[in-house]
Amino acid sequence: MRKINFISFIILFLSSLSLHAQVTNVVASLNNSKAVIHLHLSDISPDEILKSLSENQTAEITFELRLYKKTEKFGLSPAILTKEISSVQSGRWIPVTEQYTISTGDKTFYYKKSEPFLISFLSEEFTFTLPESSKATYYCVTRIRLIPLKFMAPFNLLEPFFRNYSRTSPWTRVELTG
Amino acid sequence: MIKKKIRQPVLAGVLSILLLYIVLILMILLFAGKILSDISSGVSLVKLRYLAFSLVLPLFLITSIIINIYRLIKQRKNKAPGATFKTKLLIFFTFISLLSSIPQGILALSFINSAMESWFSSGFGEAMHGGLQIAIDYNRLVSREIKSFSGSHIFENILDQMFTSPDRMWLTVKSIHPMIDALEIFDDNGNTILILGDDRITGTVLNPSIGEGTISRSKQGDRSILKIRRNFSKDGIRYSAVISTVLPDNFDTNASNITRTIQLFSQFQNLHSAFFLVLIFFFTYFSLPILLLSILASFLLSDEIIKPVVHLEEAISRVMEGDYSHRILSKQKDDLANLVNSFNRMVAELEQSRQNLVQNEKVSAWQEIAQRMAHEIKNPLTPIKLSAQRILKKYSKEPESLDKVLAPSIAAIIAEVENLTKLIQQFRDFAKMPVPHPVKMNIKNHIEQLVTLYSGSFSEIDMDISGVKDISLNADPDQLKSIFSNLISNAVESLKGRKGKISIRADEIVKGNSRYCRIQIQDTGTGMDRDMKDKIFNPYFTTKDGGTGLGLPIVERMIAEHKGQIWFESEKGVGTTFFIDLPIELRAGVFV
Repeated sequence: MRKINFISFIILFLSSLSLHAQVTNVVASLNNSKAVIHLHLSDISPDEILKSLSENQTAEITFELRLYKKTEKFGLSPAILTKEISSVQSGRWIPVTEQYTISTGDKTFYYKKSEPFLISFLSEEFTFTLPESSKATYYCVTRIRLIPLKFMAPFNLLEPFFRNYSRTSPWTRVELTG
Repeated sequence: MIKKKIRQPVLAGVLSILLLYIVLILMILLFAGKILSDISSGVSLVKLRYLAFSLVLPLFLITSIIINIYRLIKQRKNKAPGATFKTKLLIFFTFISLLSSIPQGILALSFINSAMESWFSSGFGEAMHGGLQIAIDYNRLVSREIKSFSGSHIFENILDQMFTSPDRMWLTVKSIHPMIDALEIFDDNGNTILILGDDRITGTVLNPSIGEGTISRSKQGDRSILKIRRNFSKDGIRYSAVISTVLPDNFDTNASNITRTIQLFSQFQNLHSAFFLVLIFFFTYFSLPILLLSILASFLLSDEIIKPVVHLEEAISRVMEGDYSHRILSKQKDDLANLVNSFNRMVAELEQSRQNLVQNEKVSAWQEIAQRMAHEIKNPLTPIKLSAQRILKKYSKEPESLDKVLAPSIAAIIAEVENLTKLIQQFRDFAKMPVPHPVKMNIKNHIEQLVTLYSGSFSEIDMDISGVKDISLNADPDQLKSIFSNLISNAVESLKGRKGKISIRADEIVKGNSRYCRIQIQDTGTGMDRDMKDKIFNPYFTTKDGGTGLGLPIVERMIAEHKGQIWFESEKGVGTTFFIDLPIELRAGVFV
């Protein structure tokens, strides 16, 4: 982790206008009202994450999903937000056990190798059931936000001053069809 | 009612500042309650974007201050009463606010910085890295030990006793390697056939993916268990042995905590300069509105402070203009009330003194008039008496030659009586001034007509009226004609037939809340000495042969009837300038 002094802080702050283009790969399937949405963040350099972890830092990834029900009404909002799910995963390297870990909620998963860790870390699967009675059609939009190096408290106060701090993919729309 | 009206803007100002202060407190509470809790819990500061809304407050305050500064600059430009004093007060209040806030900021930020520096000292980092290294070394040591033991021939030999004397086998294992806490034997199908040691950490399910010699790690509550598998054959049958060893309680958790602390320490080392800058930013972000609010409050406060001074200054101006009826309204218990009351008393006493002076002057004037009248009447009485005595004497001694003295004596008596009549008429004119009848008139046209008469008669005198502006006012044209004729005649006579110049100008001026027409009649005549200056408005004072000494008193009286003022400046040998101020918007009603 590079030391940030006064001048480099200003330069970093001003030069953080460049945005990185990340892509959310979404695979959706619908079977008897049961929807399975698989999300994966691609076009990301794994070295940046692994370097951060090797320096005893934490990486964080947030998967967001919004489920919309289509309506036939004309207006400003032709769809109704039905469900909103998000999942946060924290990735770390434990030097004592020499393992990568992914913590999500109360659960922790351990990985000996970086490849399966990265695949798992950059992926998430949401499973939910659509309302049965409805014949309406649904679609969902997804977004992934990656923080390669998560600032701990109280340094998270600096987050708004580093636009390059997190990489957020654009919202990706997926139609849910059986 | 007047007081109520005056207090309303002050009350509104105080309430506005109070409201802004409450908004500021709410903003700080929001930051403290919502955002600071997010900072301490380490979650992403999504709510921080709401702080952008709070920019409205400092922007509003800056706008208000700019407006007030603009007004103040305008007041200073117009030389409004109290503007300089107000500026000094504002600078003083701002300076005091800065003096109080800057040391607090420096102290708070220095305290935070020094506290963080001491918490995350280099010794702390070394201790954390050392602790982590100890944990890594211990974990490696234990792993290596049990891995070495599981692969050894000794362990293979010990396993021969698994059916004959398992307890002895376990004791042998423990005696060789006390760190081993459990031993499980599985058949080829993965079924448990023997459990030795701590049964709380047994119950291993053989994972085909984990081959022989691989260390696997599992957690049971706050305990971490290392397991290693060893395959062996006995009597031609394949078995698997799993050795388990328990790491000290909370080993993994503590190691993880050490890693997190190192993570924090590393972030401190790399980010503390930027963090300190951001702290300064946030401190400024929240202290700037307080500073702006105090500056805005100082505008209100300075207005309140200078208000009595402004009233006092205005009142003094009014008194200087001759309005002795003006009084200052002061609030009770006000610190400046004594000053205001003293001023009001002083003005009341001045008014009383002025009235007494006027009364005394009137008495003196009438006494002088009476003396002059007696003298003037006495003067013709002597020739009358002498003429009458002459007629009587002639009549008694030489009646036949009476006709010789009768005609001249009677003629002398008639002449003296006519003088008396003329004197009485002038006195009547002075005593009973006709009521002026003001009409809308143009002062320029009026003066031009009058000056034309004099220009024709006195060619040696340069009459300059180029300074007379086109001003309309309400006045009695006949009385104005009389006033200007008198003053121009005096100016002409002061030149004593020499070449000279008489300049007349008329300008519009503002005194207090009233507009006036100021007329100046300047001559390059002989001027007046000090003794003369003191007496020229006294009735019957004259320096001219045959003068009555009532011209200037009548002029002064007429101007006073027009609610105007007359005064003069004169220097012996240089000349004299008479100034007349006549109100422009004088209505007919004020004359009656």
